Amino acid sequence: MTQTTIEIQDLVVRFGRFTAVDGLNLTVREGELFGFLGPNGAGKTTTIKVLIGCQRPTSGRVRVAGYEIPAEFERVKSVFGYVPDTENHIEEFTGRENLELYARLYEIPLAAVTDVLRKLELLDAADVLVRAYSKGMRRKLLIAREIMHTPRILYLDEPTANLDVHSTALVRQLLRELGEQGVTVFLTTHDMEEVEQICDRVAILSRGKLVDCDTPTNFVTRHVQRVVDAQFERDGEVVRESLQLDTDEQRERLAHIIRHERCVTVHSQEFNFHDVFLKLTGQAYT
Amino acid sequence: MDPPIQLVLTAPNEAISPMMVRLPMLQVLIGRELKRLQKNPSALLMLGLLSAIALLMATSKPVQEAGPPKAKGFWIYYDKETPWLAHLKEHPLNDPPVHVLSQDQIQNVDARGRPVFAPGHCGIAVKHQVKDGQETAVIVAQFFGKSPDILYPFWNWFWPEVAKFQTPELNILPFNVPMAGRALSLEETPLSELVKTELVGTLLLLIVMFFTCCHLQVSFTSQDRERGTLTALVLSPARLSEIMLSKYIFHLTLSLLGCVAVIAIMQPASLLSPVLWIVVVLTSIGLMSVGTCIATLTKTQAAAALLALCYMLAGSLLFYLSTKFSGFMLIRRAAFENYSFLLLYHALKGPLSLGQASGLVTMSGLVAVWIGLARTTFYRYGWR
Repeated sequence: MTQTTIEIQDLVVRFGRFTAVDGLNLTVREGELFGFLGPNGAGKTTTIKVLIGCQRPTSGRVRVAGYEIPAEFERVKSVFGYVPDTENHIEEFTGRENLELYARLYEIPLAAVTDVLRKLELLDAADVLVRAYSKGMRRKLLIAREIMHTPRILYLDEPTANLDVHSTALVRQLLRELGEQGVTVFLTTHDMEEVEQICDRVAILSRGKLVDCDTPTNFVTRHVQRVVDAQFERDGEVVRESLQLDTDEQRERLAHIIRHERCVTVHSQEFNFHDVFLKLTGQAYT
Repeated sequence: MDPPIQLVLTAPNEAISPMMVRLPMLQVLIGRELKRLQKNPSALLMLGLLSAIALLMATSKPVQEAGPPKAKGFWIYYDKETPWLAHLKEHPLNDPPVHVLSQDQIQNVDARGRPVFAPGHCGIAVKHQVKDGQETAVIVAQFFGKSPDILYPFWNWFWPEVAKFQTPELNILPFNVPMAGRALSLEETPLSELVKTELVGTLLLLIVMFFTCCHLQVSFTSQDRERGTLTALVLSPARLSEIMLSKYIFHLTLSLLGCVAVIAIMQPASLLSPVLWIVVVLTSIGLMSVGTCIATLTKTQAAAALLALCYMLAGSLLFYLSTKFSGFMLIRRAAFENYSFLLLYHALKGPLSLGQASGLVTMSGLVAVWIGLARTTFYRYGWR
């Protein structure tokens, strides 16, 4: 039995005439690392804002951890953590002071601050004003703040933006660990490598509508064009044929070429998740 | 697409109202505001500067009243025509002027039917009583200010004039009564009379309150909004009511401390005036509500600061225009600062009882309207 943590039914969000989210249906299970993808303006951030109670839906039903959103906003708040795409620290405070404020608000021991700073490799800069932090450090401090109270759900809007290679790996590892501990991770990203590496399931959104939702592996399996390029010599010339292996006729043709022609090269066209994303959204993402 | 999932949605049932306030949470939030103030040296500098100005004003005594106050006129009003009153009509005092008229001729009366005089004028009521064949004329001289000495010019003229009419059948009995208990007619106070130490004190109090409750609060709240720290706070277990209340308590405390400093330096006798503190608290809350609306309806800190400044300038302009054009008086009466200014001035000038402080109820009503507006805008737009 799998428990559903996030349930979205027929969600519509309109801003005047513009429809940001158009009839979205989605369920996310407990402990799942869920990727939410889409080109700019697809409605990802709006959906997250609805989930955290910052945006009132035009219609539809949203339940998070059993609570109706936005009706039970006050009750659901302590259940989740939210890492926005823009950092929102108190610049005049040190990293430690920022975290201590939230530790007091969440009524957790101040020792948790040091623990989380160590986990995010920020302990050395803990007593430096946030104003002096680099973008990457601010991002990590934001993640530290939102995981400090061990939320059941963690929403992240582009968590690894502005992070260096080492910090990116650190955050991804952290997210995996959180998933193993049963925390539901709901993240948006433009990094396809990240999606393939850490997400259990992925939903692709385009113009406010859900295009598809599946595991990254299934996505590639279902959506790649299985094409083989074969080059062979015939009458002294090199001939090139591209064969889509979706039909028996094409597969027999490939077998024929390999058995009866003088093959120069035979190679498959490798598709990855990036190509699937472009195919599904019908446009290049930015 | 999605595999079949069995929904098990559980949630505790206890009700949480966004209006509920928890004391520990308030303490954390007020501590946050205090820490932010400590990290803003310019705000501390401004508060220090205002206290220094108050000290300078108090020690230099910029405007002092020369000698005891003088009456601008005396109004004798009677219930019955008598020969000695007719005599007084024919031989009036000219400086200051004495007017003699019957009770029915007085048109400007308060809700209880008592005559109302312009500031600086004294009323002399003459009431006749007949008992055992002897007629007694009771003279009740109502004086303004603290001392009946102001009536000397009147008595010096009055007694010689009526002496020849005083017979065993007619007894003239004088009483000096301060104009206590009569509600102050705030709008009748001319600005020219206000340029005194009390005025400087009033202005400094208003500046302190505007700075701490409006400008500083607008600055902090709009900075919170612009940086997204307010959203982060609202998404934490802190409730909207707690966040708003913590801001109010913090800035009100700051305002009260500033006002205590100004009053202690400029007019220490007024420190125990309940009316003064009621007006200070009401004005501070009103200004904080105005500040909350400004911070909520603007996108950036710079825009909010400019709008707060515009509000202050517009208020000053309105106050000035209302002294020139009667049409602006209606708008002025709808501003709680109008009542703040005059009540603060009178409370600083001398003892003022709650009964005398007319306008306090209207001011409370106007402040309540602003609180309602601030709450609605903050809850709806303030943190999103």
